[in-house]
Amino acid sequence: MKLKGSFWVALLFLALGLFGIIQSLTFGYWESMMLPLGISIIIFILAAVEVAREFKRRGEKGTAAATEATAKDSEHKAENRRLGLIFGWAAGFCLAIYLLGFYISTPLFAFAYLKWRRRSWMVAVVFAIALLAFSYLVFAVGLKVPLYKGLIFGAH
Amino acid sequence: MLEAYGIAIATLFQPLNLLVMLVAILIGLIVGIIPGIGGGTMVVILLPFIFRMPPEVALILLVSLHAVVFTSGGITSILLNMPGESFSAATLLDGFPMTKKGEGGRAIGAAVTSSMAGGIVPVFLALAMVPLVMPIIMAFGQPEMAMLVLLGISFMAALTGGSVIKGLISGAAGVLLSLVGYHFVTGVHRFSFGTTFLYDGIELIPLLLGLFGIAEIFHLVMRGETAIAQKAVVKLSGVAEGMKDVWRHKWLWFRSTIIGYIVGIIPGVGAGVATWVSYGQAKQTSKHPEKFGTGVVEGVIAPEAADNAKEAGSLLTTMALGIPGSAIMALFMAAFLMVGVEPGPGMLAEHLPLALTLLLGIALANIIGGIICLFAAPQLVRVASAHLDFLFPVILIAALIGVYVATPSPLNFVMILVFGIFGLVMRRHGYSRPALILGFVLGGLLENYSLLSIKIYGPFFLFRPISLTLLVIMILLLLYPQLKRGISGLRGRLSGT
Repeated sequence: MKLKGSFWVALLFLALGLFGIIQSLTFGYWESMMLPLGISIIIFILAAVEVAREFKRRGEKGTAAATEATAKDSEHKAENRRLGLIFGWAAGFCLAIYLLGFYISTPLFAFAYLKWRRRSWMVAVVFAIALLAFSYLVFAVGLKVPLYKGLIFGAH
Repeated sequence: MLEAYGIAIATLFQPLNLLVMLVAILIGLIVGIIPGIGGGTMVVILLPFIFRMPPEVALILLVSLHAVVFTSGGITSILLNMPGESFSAATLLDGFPMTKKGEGGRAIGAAVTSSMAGGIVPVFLALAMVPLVMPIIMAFGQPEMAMLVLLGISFMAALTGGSVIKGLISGAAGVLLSLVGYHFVTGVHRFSFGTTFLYDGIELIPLLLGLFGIAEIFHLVMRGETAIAQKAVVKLSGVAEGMKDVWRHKWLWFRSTIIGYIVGIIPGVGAGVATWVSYGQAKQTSKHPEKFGTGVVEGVIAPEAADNAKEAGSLLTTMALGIPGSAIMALFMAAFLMVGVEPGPGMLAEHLPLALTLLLGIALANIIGGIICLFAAPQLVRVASAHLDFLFPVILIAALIGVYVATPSPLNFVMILVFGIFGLVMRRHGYSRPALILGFVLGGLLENYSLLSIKIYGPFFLFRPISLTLLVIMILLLLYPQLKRGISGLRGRLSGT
């Protein structure tokens, strides 16, 4: 019997509840313990109910659902691959900001991403410059908010 | 009293004040549209500049800016599924599905009209109802506040449509996340894993932008979609239709406005609860509750009306009692003190014309801001039909800048990505992201009020009359779907026999 993602998510919340209960008991004072413990117990109980429901639901659907799930597997794999790629881009951009700051990484990221999406050089360059100009004019000039300059070029 | 009204109107219509108001409205509308840069952030940024201004100019500036942030914030929720503030999150439940169905213009028309009218009417209610509402406010002690917070979170849990249990888990997880960090009563560090970054707790903006903005963009790219809305309506007729919708659902709008106003009056809770309670009553009283969340216009009208309506009530409480009605009103209190006006019971007596000027300022700013939004709506709707290749970098950059401006720590970039994935998981498996946000926003208040209640009234604080009433309402609300099913089943059996 193959279990669905919903089961694992419910299990994740169950673990969160259990972790909350164990941690709360170490807080020492009842004032610090009361709400986290109460809330963790609630999460634990509700998540346990949800885990049981998911398990039961899966058991009821039986083999028919398992066949359907196999058919959807390839679709899920493609989605997960796209998610992995887009997460990689987002994480890479965050790292670029951390190292190079907003003013360098913003046009760099916009340009690289559009080129990766097979846009023309002209579109990628114009879009990257427009995005930089917009960020600079709105934040640095308009709102007088200094943006992060990055680790390499002197973090603000 | 009439003389004070005369002074207030004359002050408001002075050329300088009108000019300041117009500039503030434009800033407020832009700030509201940009995700992550909430009205609170903008108020904080402006605080250092108001020192040397005359009190009425400084406060008109802040009040006008803040009044229209919610109006344009709804547009971002509707088009991009990114709430500018946690309070705008209710709008996206139906606003964004409407955009996906090609009814973005209609949703904006309904949201702006509802928000604009919802911001005007309560001002006059505030002016008329002061003597009536004061006894109610004074009757709310800590136990009642704690119950009101729980009621707000329960409303959210009930709204998740499919499963109340998943809604409750989400709300409770939000409360648990709000407890991360230093506990001010005992000094214990909770769930911070010894890292200094978590000593002050998890910041709201990365959580908000991650759960909604980043998760949504991840979802769209993952599904291989090319635009948020393939056939976004770019016609003024859609906007006009939305305006007519508000008239068609005028009683819903009126109820939501009153709810927003009353919740806004109650100090310390109003900001987050108003929109969700209002959305909840819209769903519960609807003839087709099952359609909520799929893009029905009532789901936009109700939270938008309440969102703006609470501001007049919130400002009134801040000025009359010196108790901030919301987090932003706490900033307004600082602004009042900075320009030499002390909010509190004495303010209505000593500075009545100023108080009336500010309340009327909210109404005027809403009218001007609403008209600008309605005329600019067709252009704003175009955002939704932009290709995802361009939207992904724009949304990601806007979100990251928003996070950095609000919480200047690069570590929050990691948080926004983590919450983005978490939001995606919640979205895919039917857990309520709005419930989590509400739990997070109100978690601190819940802890404060419940601790104070136990210390003052003992463990039986729940059995005070108002608390008990709120508790019964909460239980009925959570059991309502089962009760409804049970009653209709019983009816079916009775009619069958």
